[in-house]
Amino acid sequence: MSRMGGDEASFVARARTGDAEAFRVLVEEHSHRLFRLAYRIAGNEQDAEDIVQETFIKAHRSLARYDDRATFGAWLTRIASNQAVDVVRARRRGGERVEAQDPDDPDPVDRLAETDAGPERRLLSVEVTRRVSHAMSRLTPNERAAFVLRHHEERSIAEIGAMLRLSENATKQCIFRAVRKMREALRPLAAHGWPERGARES
Amino acid sequence: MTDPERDPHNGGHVTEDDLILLQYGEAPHPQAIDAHLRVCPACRAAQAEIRATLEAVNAADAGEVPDRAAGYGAQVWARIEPRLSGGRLAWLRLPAMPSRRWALAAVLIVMLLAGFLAGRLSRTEPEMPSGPISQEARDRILLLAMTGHLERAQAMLAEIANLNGVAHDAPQAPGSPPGVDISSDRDRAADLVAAGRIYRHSASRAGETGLELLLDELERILTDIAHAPSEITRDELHAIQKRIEDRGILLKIRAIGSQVRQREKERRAYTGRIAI
Repeated sequence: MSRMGGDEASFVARARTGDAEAFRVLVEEHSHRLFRLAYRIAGNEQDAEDIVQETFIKAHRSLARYDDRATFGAWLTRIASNQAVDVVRARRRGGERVEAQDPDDPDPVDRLAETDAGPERRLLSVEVTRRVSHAMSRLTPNERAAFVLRHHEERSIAEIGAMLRLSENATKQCIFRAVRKMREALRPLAAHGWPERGARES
Repeated sequence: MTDPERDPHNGGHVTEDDLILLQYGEAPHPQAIDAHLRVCPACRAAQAEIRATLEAVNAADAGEVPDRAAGYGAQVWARIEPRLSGGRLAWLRLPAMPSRRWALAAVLIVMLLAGFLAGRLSRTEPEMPSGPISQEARDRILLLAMTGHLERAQAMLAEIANLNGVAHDAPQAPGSPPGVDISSDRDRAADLVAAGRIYRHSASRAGETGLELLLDELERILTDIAHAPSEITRDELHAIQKRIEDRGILLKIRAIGSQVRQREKERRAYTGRIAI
């Protein structure tokens, strides 16, 4: 439950005067959300945790420049998104690929086996999930960030452009390419009944 | 929508881009697109496929993002707080870094302390004080450890700089450039990167700007080597060698290493005079 009681602005104002306790409350308030954002862009827990920490450190250093035009949460989202893009970019420069799935995670087949769906349907669901994860891991850093911000964070294209320092058209193209790549990844499954008939006709 | 073929008003199909925008509530003319979808099975099918794709993304995401414990925010604060507060000792506190590397960092620091204490004891110097280790001693440990780190990095880069790019025993295929096996250098570079980051953060907090810049430059080149394939082409080897040479990195390491050793020598001489 939020410790700020809806009065985030006063905590931000106090943090700007050097009140460490106020900044601590802001950190505790936004950490979970930023972790989810960072994980979706970076694709692994380790980088996501680093991104969250670096985001708050950068925010603390830049508190004087925060101008209230965006909410504090949106401002943190902007810092975290750019930090995540930098991390993914650096990793790609180093020749690393984003792993679609931690090999230590439970096999998705095991998770889905507990559902009541028939075996073919479950297998198809597993394959859909696998293909989506793989397609996500192959997006460029900007495509991934723009898509995550639009799809999961529900930010507008104009907001995303401002956050990632991209033009509106470039932001749109990032999102279009991301969706197209995922659509292409799933297209081979059409022969196996994906999407389901109900979804096709709704 | 000025292109007639993309304009539903003209009876053309709706583009994939507009269908995606529609899905996200950002289509420029949603009513016009809706009207077209009502009469066009092909566009309706495309829209359904896009919707199903995005639903599949949600389904994939649902089991993908790991949960953090309720106290995660407090953990984040505990990790970053030392880096936010000032103070004389702030630079000695460990920086926020991948928790996987915390264990390595801890082991490294324990080894440094053990090595330092062993060195002191073996030199039959006066009895070790039983109280907490002093600020000066901490500075010395880090300084000496950095010297060792720089020497190891220098040796590794010197080896790379002197590789001649001739393939190892494998016969060379006609017309193909020979590969150079740098797998062992790559592993050493990865180790040096991990250790170097700790020293760089320490140097930064100590205000040792020259050392920090050198460690940063060193980290970049070592990272590239650590992430290179185990076998690189002759051209790739030459590119790395050129980078080492152009940046004068070996020279800089020698210069900084020499400065650090000189400071340590002066400190010992000063300590000796005080003891007399």
